[in-house]
Amino acid sequence: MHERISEEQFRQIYRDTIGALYGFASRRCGGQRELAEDVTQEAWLRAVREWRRNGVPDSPLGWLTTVARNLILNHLRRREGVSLDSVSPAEVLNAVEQNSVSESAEIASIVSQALLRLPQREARLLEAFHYDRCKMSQLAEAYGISERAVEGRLRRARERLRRELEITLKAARGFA
Amino acid sequence: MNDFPDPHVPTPDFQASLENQIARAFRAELQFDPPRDARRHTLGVVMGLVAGSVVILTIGLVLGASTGYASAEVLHARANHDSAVVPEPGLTILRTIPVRTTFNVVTCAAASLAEPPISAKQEPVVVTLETTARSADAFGAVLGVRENAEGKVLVNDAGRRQLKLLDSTLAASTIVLDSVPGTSASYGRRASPLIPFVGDSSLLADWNARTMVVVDGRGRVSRALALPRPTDMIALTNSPAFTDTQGRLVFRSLRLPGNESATHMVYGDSMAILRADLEFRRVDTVGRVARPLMKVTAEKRSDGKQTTVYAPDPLQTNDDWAALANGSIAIVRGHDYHLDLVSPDGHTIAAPKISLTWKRLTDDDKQRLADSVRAAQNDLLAIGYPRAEFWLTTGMSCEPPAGLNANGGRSGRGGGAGAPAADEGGNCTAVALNSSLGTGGPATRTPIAPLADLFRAGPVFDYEAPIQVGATMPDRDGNLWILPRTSTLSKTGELVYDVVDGKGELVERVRLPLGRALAGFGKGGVVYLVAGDRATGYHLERGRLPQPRQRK
Repeated sequence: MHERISEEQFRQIYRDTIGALYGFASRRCGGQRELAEDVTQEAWLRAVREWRRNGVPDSPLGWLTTVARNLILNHLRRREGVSLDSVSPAEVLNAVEQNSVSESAEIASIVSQALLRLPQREARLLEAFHYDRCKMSQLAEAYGISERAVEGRLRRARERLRRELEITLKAARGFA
Repeated sequence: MNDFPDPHVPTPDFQASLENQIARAFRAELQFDPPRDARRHTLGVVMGLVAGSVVILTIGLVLGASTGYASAEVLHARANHDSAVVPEPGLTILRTIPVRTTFNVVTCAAASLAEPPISAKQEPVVVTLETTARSADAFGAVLGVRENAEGKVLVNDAGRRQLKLLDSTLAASTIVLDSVPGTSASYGRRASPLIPFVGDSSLLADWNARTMVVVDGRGRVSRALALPRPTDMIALTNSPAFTDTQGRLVFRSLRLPGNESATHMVYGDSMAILRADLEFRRVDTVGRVARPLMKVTAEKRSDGKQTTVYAPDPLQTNDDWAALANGSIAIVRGHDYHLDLVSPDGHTIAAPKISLTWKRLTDDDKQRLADSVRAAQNDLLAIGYPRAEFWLTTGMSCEPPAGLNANGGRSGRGGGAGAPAADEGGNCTAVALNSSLGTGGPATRTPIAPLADLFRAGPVFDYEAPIQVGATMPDRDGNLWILPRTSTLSKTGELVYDVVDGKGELVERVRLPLGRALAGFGKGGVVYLVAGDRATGYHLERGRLPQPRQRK
């Protein structure tokens, strides 16, 4: 049976992870503070309910970021199409190239929706690179492969993302 | 202060507030957490129960070997008057000590306080009404009876367009309004219901003047009233109408189309109950009653006149209503057989459901009913009746009640049964023509083609509708009489009414004599019935319900 966690332990985990969790959510929301705060709050409230019953997972931050990611994706699925009046397809594609996706809410939303249609492995890699700003060396260590291999995977994932983005943007503008 | 250069870093305010919120949620979870040793506790309870069972069984096995008072040995000894053999069971003392008696007293007292009195839970008393007087005169059709303070009875003979005043023995009568036109005592050119008004007075429609005439308890015309809306006169005379304790007329509105197209008029499935204030000249809506229609079709005939085929769905549940003597308006809801009571100040109370033996309809029953409706409707159209209006009468005697014609020519409310045919279960179901139209119809009418489609207002319910339209009548003692569509208490086809008090609770069931229909009420349990047939005329009869203490 797992050990019950005390309130003080809970608070400590919160203080250790709140910055990272918020940053994770905020980048995927394109810096929309209100949405990021909602996601962070909901993820933690779920953690309270879940962890009280089943104990704290081995990686609390991993648990929280998984919940936050799902919350954001659900939010994107439910919301209506993003207005593309203020952003052009070229800007979106350029943001992907420039690794500045999380700087704009519109671009982040469009990219997140495109990521939904990518294989999970490639989507996670792109998220880690574009949203979490992980370095090549960190990714190589996390995946247990060489940096060159990471570059190759990133390039292929980016190509697939670009195709998805073009389809998304054409559909949104009535070109499809 | 709240502006941060990095948008991906949480603000301190957010961090602090979320931490407090999480702490509160944590404590709330802690408060409602199951106890940690729940499993151990459950195990303990189970073990305790098992141990207790073992102990009890052991005691029963050891001490129960002596069956005491009922053992064969004791019975034999008792038969031989051998008192010495009678053993004394080991636990006999438990029967005599006061603890058990005290325990019984306490538990029984608690149970008696928690449960309503047994008499209140029993089925209501069924009273068989017996008549004590019968009118010497025969009437063409009795469309309302009013008993005045002197015990005399005003009878609205709509069949002969006369208003008669009968003495208290019902033997002698005087014509107070006659069908002869042009006099001050003319009844009028059309039959009109006798609407109870303030005190002993009543209202009759004067169609020539488009006003309502007030007649006093002796039938004398005292004055005329103009309705706030003259168009309501049709509604007021086409369906039962009442007067509440504040002198306001309560009646059912006409059907108003809700949506029209070139070929169809769509009507709602309910009708409004209106209340007209003669003092302030205004009309308001009190409630609505369910009256589902199958179809309403307007057709222009070759002579230029428009015919409206108006088809209520007789297989749907209807509501019915009446104004009680205490001023409340009682709406009988057909879907679950309960009353909604609308008090004079507008408050509505839903009374508990009334006990009823619901009759389940099989798929075959439903199909048979639907087919019979279709056939009857087309028959009616074939003889030229545009108003193809029917109701179903089921679960009644297969023979027409004695004293009534085969076509169900009852003149009181709740009648209208046709000549039914028995089904396999011995019950009878028939689709009968609305009695307001008569039967058959003039042969000179132009036949109307059968309807191409008959729409159901909705699926036929799995249980037969408990009431039909016109099944209620208020008495003058504050009760509502409801005639259920079927009653297991009807022995040979008598009408058995459910009598509900002003709170909506069933107080008794009254079985009318065979072949009688309700005509009206007097105060103190007086009931007026009508018996007879169209050929020989209808007679008025009076009965009195036994006082509650005398009822069995």
